[in-house]
Amino acid sequence: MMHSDRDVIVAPATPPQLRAPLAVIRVSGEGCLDFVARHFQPKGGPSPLRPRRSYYGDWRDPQGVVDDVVVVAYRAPRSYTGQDMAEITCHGNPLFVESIVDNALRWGARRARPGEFTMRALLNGKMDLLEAESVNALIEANTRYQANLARRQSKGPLVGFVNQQVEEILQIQAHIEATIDYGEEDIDALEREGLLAKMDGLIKAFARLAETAKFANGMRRGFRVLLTGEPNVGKSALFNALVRQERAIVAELPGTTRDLISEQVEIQGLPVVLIDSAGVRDTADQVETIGIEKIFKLLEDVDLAIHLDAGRGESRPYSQLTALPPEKRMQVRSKSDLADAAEKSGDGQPLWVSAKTGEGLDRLEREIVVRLAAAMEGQSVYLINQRQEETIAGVVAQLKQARDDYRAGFGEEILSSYLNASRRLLAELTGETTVEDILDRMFSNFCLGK
Amino acid sequence: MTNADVIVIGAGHAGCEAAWATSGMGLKTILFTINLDMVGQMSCNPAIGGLAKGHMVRELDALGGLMPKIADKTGIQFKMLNRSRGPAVQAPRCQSDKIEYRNVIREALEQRENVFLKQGIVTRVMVEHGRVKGVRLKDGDEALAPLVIITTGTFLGGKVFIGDAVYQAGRCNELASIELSASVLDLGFQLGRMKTGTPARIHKKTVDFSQFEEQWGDRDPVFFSYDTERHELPQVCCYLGYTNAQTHAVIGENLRRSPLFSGEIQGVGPRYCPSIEDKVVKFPDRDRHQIFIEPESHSAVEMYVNGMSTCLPIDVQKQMYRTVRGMESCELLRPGYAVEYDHIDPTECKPTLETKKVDGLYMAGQINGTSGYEEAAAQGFVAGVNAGLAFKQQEPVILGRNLAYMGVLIDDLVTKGTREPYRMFTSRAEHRLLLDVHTADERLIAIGRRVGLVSESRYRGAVDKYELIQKDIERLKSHKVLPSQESQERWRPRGVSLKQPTTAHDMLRRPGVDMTALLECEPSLEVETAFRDVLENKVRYAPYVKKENEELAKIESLRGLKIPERFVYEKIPSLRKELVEKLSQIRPKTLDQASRISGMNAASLAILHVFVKRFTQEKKKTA
Repeated sequence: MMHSDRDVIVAPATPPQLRAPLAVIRVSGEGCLDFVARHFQPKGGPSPLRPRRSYYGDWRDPQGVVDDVVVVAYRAPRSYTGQDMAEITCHGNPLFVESIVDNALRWGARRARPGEFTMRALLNGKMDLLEAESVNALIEANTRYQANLARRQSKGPLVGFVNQQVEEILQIQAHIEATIDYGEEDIDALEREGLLAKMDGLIKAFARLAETAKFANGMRRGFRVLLTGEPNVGKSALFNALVRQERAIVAELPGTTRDLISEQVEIQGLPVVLIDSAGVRDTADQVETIGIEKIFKLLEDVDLAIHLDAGRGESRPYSQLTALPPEKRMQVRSKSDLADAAEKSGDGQPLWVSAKTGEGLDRLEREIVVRLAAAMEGQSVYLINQRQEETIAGVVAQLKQARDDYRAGFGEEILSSYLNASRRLLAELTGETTVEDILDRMFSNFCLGK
Repeated sequence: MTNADVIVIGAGHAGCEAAWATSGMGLKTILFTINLDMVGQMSCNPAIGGLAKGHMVRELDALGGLMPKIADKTGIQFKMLNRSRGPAVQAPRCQSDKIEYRNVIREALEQRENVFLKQGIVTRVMVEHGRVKGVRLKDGDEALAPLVIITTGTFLGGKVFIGDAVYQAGRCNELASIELSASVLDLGFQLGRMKTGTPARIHKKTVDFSQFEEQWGDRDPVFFSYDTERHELPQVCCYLGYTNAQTHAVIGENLRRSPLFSGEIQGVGPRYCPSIEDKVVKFPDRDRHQIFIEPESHSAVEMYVNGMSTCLPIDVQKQMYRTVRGMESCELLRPGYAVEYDHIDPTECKPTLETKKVDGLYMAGQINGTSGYEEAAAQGFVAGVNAGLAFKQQEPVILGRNLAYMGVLIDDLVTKGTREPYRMFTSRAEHRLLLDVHTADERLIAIGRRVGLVSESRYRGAVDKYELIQKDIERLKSHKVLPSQESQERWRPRGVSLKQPTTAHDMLRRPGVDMTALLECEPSLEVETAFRDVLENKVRYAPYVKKENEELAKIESLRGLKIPERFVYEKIPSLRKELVEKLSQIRPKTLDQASRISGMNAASLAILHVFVKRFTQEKKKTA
């Protein structure tokens, strides 16, 4: 499948290693400098930026400052790709890299395919014959590496799983195409309900696979676990206890505001970005309100929110918290050292912990791991990178739209067009499938033709 | 010695269509046939159209072709297939009176100015300095023309098989074209063998039709031509029946006597048109197969046994057909048979169907590895039109894959080639939703007008038709359906509840709301077009059309980039050798076409892109 060679693409140019000192993100395509201007505030620099000079300043997004960065802008055709281009150098924390890439995606850019920056350089005639040859060698090497990888993966569980689903799609399409082109023949037709059931099966399989991406994401950039609750329930004490216990303090990551503190820790083998937050309560204080709003915003993006209460009086999780799906929140009661045994016993009790004595911390950690790894339960295949994640998310979207339109009364030909789109997306993982693959199945499954 | 502007070899569905096009464009055209009585003969089933095929016949009509007119004139049963499905996958089909078809098409050609229909066996294509010059005939005569179109069907090196009887023939009992094969080989084309087959014809009066289910056509037939208003011949019935275990047993016992299984036939047969032997062998679990008994003509008692194509020996055929309920005492008028014939690799052709090796020489129909009357006619038309345009030194017509099934057909053939007889399926068109049979005139009539095969008044008519529809769409968009009490009451019985003001246009997209309902419930709304179903479908399917068009836009930049004819692929050092060979042989016209060649990947395409651009720029500089 072909893509336009002018739209804006984005990708980290440095490997996504944890905590390299610096990372570079590249964007290229028509309008990419507008995107940069929207987020970058140079310290005393001109606006717009003069090309091919480096500027230091803040990278901002709606949540605040992401990082201080160095930006170099290029104007077409004087750039590597021959298009408008920018290179953004930030600190090497994957959180920053992902945030900046995410800003670009939200703005309307698309993640670059392997070698696409070089491909554009070729397309725009930025290289002479010799260079083209040598870059081609690079591309070939890259492809050969990928070919090797693909060969190795072809026996791997993910490719196996996706191939299995693609086979199911082909079988459905063979069926649809047989009934469309050979409507009068003796075919055991899958009725509408049968096809809908098959679509549901496909959606379920891919949605479950998409879920696993969260786990891989977490493994790559740390699972985001938020400690929240009313003021003075012991959040910070628990935060320190969890951090100290692992002795895994690496660097203090300043949050987007003074009232969010996060630490990278390892909890029973899982990388976790533990976030301590200010207490949530009704207040008239403006500064405090802003901080609380930030927590509410953050809730949309956490893997797990631990609601802490001290067991004094009623525990009332605020509505933004209860709006989270149940698997994303857990109730924990702090200061267990101050409570008596009678208080802690009985059914339906939340988990009790004490930051002071360490009571319940082990159990809490185990519970956190169980929650974070829930998507992986019973899964033998999982997505390992963001590209795969986006592909599978795209497939799920196509399949759902297909099912909904079909349910609304549109015909099999519409269903088939969505299935084609899904197969085109999956071609990145499985290699291309064509109409011949459908026809092969059609003629081996059904006795067609007069 | 005779002179002409163009010579067409073979008067089957491809040849007739080619001659119709060239003569209509003003070229003096000689159409050679081996047998003048068999012009436009339907060698196999007495039917035209169906899914994807019916689409192409419609497209031919919009372009000014011949087949749609003759099919309508000689149709004895019309059916719109898939009426219950979406508009893009509906298609017209008809049963034809074969004898009438031959007579009417011959008359149409003989009455046409510029066509000279002649009997004669072409034995040699004459070429001088890489350009075609004319043809030599078996009687020693020569005919000269700067353009030659070969449409030999199953006659080129034709060989018929019935059991162990094998003989040279183009159809059963008809002379094959043997010498011409050697001539085509001499020109440097490689020949392959393909195979097809046909069932026996049985005597109408020896069949007990009470044992079959009657199958009638539509009461309100949809025709192939946009201009046809009514059918001319009395309409007939077809009959549905089944084979049975006994039938399959007879076949099983005699399989080794079938040349298909004895290894006698080497040609590749079509999967989608299997013989009954094939069906029984490949699907042993099926206890019955559908068959249709179809009349061949009002003026003959022959019935076609659709679904039971065979080349078993005649004694086995008799036994086999008589196992079918209702056919216990049927008389075979002609036996079924298989026929094997020569074809070239269609990647030898340009998208105009002119061969790359010989200037002025075109190929169309089964010689290009296809099967089917409609596929043949489509190619005949494209070859004819482009020969005509070449004669007039005008730009060729290359139909896009997003415009016509005919475009998909030609692009598939010249880009990918084919290993089995190629049949069109709607699934082959990646933009199927755009190739709606109802609106072929909207997409194509301007092309028909440009080449001069569509009259100005017809062209105007189509333009006005779609302008009116567009106006109605705007009207639907501006008409508000209000949730007033009266309005609610009118809509409620149709299961529609109104909550807020909605445009009539958006109402039409709701499930269960059609044009009739809309006009009934909104008395103040009026539409002008008589083509309400087209209007309705345009509104309802607009989001899908939009989606398809977005896909198209993505490849537009590639489609726009033409690869110069003289581009030298060998000079690109960084492309794989196999790919260079393939590209040099296929010679894609655009980068888009190159992208569909098997083995092409994104990296190679990008490199090709760079070199094509550079080549074009350098040529500009030096020019």
